[in-house]
Amino acid sequence: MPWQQRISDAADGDFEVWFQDEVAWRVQPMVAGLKEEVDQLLSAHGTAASHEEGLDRDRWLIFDEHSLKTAQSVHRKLAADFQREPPPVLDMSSLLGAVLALGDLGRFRVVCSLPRDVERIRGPLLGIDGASKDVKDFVRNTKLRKPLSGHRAVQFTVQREGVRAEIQIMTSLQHAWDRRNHCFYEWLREGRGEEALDLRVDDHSVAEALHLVDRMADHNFEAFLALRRGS
Amino acid sequence: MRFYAISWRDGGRPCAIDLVGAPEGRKGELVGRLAEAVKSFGSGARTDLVAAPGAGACLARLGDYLWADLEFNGVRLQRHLRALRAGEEPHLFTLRTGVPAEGGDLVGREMPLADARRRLEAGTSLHLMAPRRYGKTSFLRRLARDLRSSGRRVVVIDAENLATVGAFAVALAEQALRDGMESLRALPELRGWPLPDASAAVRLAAKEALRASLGAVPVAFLKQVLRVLGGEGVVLCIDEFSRFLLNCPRADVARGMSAFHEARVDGGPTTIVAGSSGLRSFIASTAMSGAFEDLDVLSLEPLEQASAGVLVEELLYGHGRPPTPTVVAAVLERLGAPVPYFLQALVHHTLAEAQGSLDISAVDRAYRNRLLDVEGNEFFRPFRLQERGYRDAWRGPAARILARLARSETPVLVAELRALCPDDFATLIAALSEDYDIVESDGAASLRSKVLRERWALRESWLTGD
Repeated sequence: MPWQQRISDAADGDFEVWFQDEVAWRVQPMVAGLKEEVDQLLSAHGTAASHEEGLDRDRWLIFDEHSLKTAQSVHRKLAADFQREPPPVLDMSSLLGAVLALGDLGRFRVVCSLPRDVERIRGPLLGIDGASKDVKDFVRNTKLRKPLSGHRAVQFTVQREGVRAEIQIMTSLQHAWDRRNHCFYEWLREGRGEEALDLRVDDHSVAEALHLVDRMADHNFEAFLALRRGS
Repeated sequence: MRFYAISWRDGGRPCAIDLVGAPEGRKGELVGRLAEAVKSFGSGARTDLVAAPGAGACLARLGDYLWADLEFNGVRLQRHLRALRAGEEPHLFTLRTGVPAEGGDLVGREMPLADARRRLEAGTSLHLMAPRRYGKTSFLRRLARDLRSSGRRVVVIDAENLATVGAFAVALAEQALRDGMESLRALPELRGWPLPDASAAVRLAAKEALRASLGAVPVAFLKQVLRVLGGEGVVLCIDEFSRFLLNCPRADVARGMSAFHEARVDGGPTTIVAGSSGLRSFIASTAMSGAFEDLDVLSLEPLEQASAGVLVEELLYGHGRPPTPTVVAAVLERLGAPVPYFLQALVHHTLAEAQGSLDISAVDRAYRNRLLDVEGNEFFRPFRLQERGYRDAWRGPAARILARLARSETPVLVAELRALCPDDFATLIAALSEDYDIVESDGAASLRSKVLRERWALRESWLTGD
């Protein structure tokens, strides 16, 4: 029996209903509260940064479209995970545990204007109560930068009340690449990698080029600040 | 994820609650409370955090479900969700001081409405009995609407300004024709009656001509009209019926009501009559019980405390002033028995008084310094004017009885009240009971409305019957 069906059976016949009843009410408050806390933290550090730079500029914002994993998405992921590594027992209790163990039931992204803004807010965000020490740095960690993967972010999970949510920090260019790339990424997950090899090479190059643009922009901004201080 | 979205698996209207403006640091907690409240709907509900409301979603603010002290008002949310699940929009209550409540503004009358429908559908004619300002007109209008929704034909007339049986008969025919009872045109007196699109002047002229031709007590015409209505299965609703009876010359009304009764019990329409003046006292004073013996009594009581509390809460929210539970309780405590009219009046004055903080002291000031004082005069005018309609021999004793009841917080022995009105006490007390909401129990009587009692004790000592 396919794992999706077995998961539905464990969820009393209807995974979506079970997800709403057992999972949604746990996740939604945690994510809403976490986002509010991050919002306040961004505001506080934004004020401090503006004072230091002597500039009031757009620095960072929260992107939270699709902040909750859908029941369908969770269902597919669990089925794929169980296919690779079947659970010893699959009942309602173990199913709930498996769902809550997912690192990104809730997620949102802090999108920063410049790389310096990423660096500035990274520390305070990682200091949030419940933040995991296991930080995934897709910019500097070569092990995470898989061949032809253009994803660039710093991301970590926050666990509270038994629920885990993922926070990603990236620049607006990295965010733009990710948004545009998302459909391609989903298509590749269907196992179409080989036929799209050239496209993947080019797409990866775009991500790298955008990284350079970010660096240049940051460098230019530093030069601008120096001129401004001097004048 | 600005909105907390709620949708239904099996129909119903979705809802999106705007979380912007949540008290600082409490968004997570409040989303949790929202989720808890929705959980009570079981697997029928689906929730999500979304950036924008879905198409057709009813929009609400988180503040709509917070008390003034920023505590979560889950009961209000669940009340609104029940409406949405039924495909309706949560009702926005507005103050309606002194005018009939319509649509969703009418609360707490579900059981008597269901009772009235059941009995009328079974062919039982009714006397809707309630003291002044209990919402009889609101009730009749809602009843008519509900009956029409279930396919019954209903004719509603307001008999307040009718002073003869002939005028009553003409008003009945006119309204029935306006409501589409074309079969009435077969009656000789109504052949040539203006069509619905005729001008007001033409219709008025026809009405005057018919009245003149029928005379004061057109028994035959009245019976014919009633038989036609009965044949069409009409439910006839007559408001201010007892006012009409008092307006008519006594000799005429006896013949007219006898004819009305005969027609009702012989194929005429099932009827419900209501009036702010006492039908019982009229019957007692005119010995006309036979003309009304087919009418079952349906009483309207003060609202249940729970319904009254909901009404107070919703009125305050509806006017942009979320209360606290203690403010709602304070309003109910000042009201005593929740007469809808006084409830609206006190909320009106509370909103006026609470320009700053809406708290218990504002309610108290609104009650004592406004409703029970000069500013409240307009709300008590119908009661004051009622006494002026009594015959001279009654006015002094009525004033003494009311004054005695007003000054006592506990019931007064009926024997003591009888001593204040040696002649015709039974008829007077019946009139006062219906006009001033006096209740009797175990040989003692009291003014049921705390508001009326306290107002009378404070302000209405203008009668010098002593």
